[in-house]
Amino acid sequence: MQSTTVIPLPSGEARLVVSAQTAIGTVRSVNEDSYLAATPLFVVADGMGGHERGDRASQTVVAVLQDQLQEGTLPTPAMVLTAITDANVAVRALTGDNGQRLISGTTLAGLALVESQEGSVHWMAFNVGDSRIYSWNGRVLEQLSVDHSAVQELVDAGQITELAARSHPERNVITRAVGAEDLVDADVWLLPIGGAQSFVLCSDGLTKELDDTAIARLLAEYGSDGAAHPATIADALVDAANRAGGKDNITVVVLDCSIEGAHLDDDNTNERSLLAAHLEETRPRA
Amino acid sequence: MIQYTPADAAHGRLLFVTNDALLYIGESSAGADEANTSPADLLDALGSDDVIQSVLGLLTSRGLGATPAFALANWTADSTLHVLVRGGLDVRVDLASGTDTISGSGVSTWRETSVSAVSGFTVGDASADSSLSLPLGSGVVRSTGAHVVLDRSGVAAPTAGAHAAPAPAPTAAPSVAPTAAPAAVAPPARTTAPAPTTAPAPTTPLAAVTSAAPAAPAGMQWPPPSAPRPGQTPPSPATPATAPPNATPATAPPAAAAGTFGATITPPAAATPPAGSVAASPASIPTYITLPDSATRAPEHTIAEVAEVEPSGYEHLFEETVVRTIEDAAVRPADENDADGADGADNADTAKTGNTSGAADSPTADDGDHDGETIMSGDLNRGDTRGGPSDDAPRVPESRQLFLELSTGGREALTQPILVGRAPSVSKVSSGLVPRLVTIPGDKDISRNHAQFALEGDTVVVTDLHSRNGTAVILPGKPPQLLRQGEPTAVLVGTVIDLGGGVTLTVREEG
Repeated sequence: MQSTTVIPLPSGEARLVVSAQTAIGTVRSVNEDSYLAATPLFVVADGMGGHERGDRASQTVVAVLQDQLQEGTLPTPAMVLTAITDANVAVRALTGDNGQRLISGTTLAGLALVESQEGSVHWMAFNVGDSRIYSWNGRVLEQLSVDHSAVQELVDAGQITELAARSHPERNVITRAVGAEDLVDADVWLLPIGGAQSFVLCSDGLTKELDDTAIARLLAEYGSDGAAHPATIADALVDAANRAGGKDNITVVVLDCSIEGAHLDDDNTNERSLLAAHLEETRPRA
Repeated sequence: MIQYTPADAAHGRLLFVTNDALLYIGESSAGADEANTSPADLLDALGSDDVIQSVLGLLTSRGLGATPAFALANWTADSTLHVLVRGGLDVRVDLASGTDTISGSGVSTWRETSVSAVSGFTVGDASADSSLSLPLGSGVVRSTGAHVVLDRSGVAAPTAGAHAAPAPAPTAAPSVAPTAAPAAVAPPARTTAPAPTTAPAPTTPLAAVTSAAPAAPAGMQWPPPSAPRPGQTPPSPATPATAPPNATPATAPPAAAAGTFGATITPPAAATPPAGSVAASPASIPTYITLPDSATRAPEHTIAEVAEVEPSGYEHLFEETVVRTIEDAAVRPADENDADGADGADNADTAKTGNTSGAADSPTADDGDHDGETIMSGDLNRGDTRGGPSDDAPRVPESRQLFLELSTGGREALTQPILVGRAPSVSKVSSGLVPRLVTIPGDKDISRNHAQFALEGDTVVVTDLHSRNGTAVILPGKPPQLLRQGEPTAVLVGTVIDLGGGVTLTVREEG
């Protein structure tokens, strides 16, 4: 699926081209992933819980977010956070067919255009779990989110390398999830908007099969070599993951955004990517 | 008459004495210090009508286990002695038939007994060597022991030595007084007595006892119970005040002195002839001012003050300081002129009113006392008039409504962290700590992420986010200070934060 939407900003407008695809993979019998592409809100959720119907958890999160955040208007960061909190409550309230509470949870990786201040628009990224948010500037794929996973903690602690993490026996263990606890703690980023920006949201079905280099190559080559292509870049990524094994559900949302208007900053025209420039200015720990 | 053996704090225990009672505190069974009860309170109790009950109430207020060993004696006019002894102490009572010892050992509470026809008694380790003993009127001292002589009238009477012929030539005094007082004295800045050099010295044989006091300063560290309650001791300034600089012994009016120290234990009848002498030597810097008419009647306040007054400048706390220095006289010509026109009563009044009037009279001499007050208020005033903006700085109301006032217009409530910059962004924060982004558009002097403000408790904390041009903090009335990059810094309400390029934010508080 691919769609193009234009959303007005306080000054100028944002033109968003979004493609999204989800696949059950080659092994699983249920697709527990869900996604939402409702400009200006884009979400990927990877339900877990196996036979406990993890699919309902991810569907619930998406439904709550879609319900609370109106399509076509810019929410505030606080509204997004409130929606995440409510989604957590909703997942915890899920009951099975026998009326018993379901033990389930879901990841949540999302991106939204938010109006953080009168006349000030930012990208807001939020993440719980091991679904990922990447930024793509046409040359470099950069992972924006940090997985809430056991292997990520091992990597952070310097105990294993990222390569080892890919084959670590506990690579499927996540440390945070929506619905896992009474309070959900999402990581949040607020990024400046400007120029042409691309983002990839995906579940771990993609990143477990394709490493960042493979994903970047697909992103770069899509539509450039004149060969026959899947309908959308999201389709291309999902197909590649399926061919690589498809051991898990695969969900991808690719977002190309071009913003016109007075938002561009001269500093942003330098060679550094927006993200790199942003990450340079590390905030001190509170 | 009470003679006690002075001792320093390490060896002596507290000895309390009043007109008709004595209390000696030994070590408590638990080894605790005797000071678990305020000496001032104990002295009060000892002077009360119901001595035994009052003192016992205090001593046992923390239970018997914490009650120290003590010897409490109360005598009456008919030479009947009432004694309570606890712990390892004993009281040796002098009777016509010999000496009877009342010991507190062997009983779990205390031994209480009453003995009549007592001529005197001894508590603790009173030195037999009279040259090591000092007379005591009433007050508190550190002592290893005391000997009390009761005369027929039941009143502590002077010892034999005290009845010796009055005499000493004025020359005797210098040798006595200087040694007696050195450590004990400090210049009483505000006494009205203009004549330090004329402080009458005791001239009776007991003056020799006074001379034994070199040991006294060390042993008399305890603050006199009268110190916190100046009003309880009779004002003494009358004596010094009336003594002209060059006073001869004859100029010390015995009557006035006697009246002044009417509270002392020695009955007037026992007073020896007045023999006030003058400590004429300039070398005798501090001198005891003791009763000119009877050295045996050491006024209670004299004992008390000498006991604890050190040259530390606290004398002004007591209405009547009994020692002074030559220097005082030297700087007091103006004061003396004033005194010339005043009678003794005026002087006494002045003394009672404390150091304020004294200071007014003699600014030079009272620099120490008044400087403090004057400077303090002056400082306060200066601070008030100068630091207008600082007025609203360090107040911490119950709940603060703090906000940032932007020079570009608008305000931002500090209900959540605020990140200010030309194109601010936030990297991976917990959802509960997402700051509000405030964009200052257009100015290239300002970094994309320039500074962050947060409320920590009631304090506004500003952090420079490694901005290229830095963040300056301007406290009211202070020069700008550049923040250290990345270092959270607390700022007060009223502080201006300068991001450069003319963009400032001011920390304000609602209301």
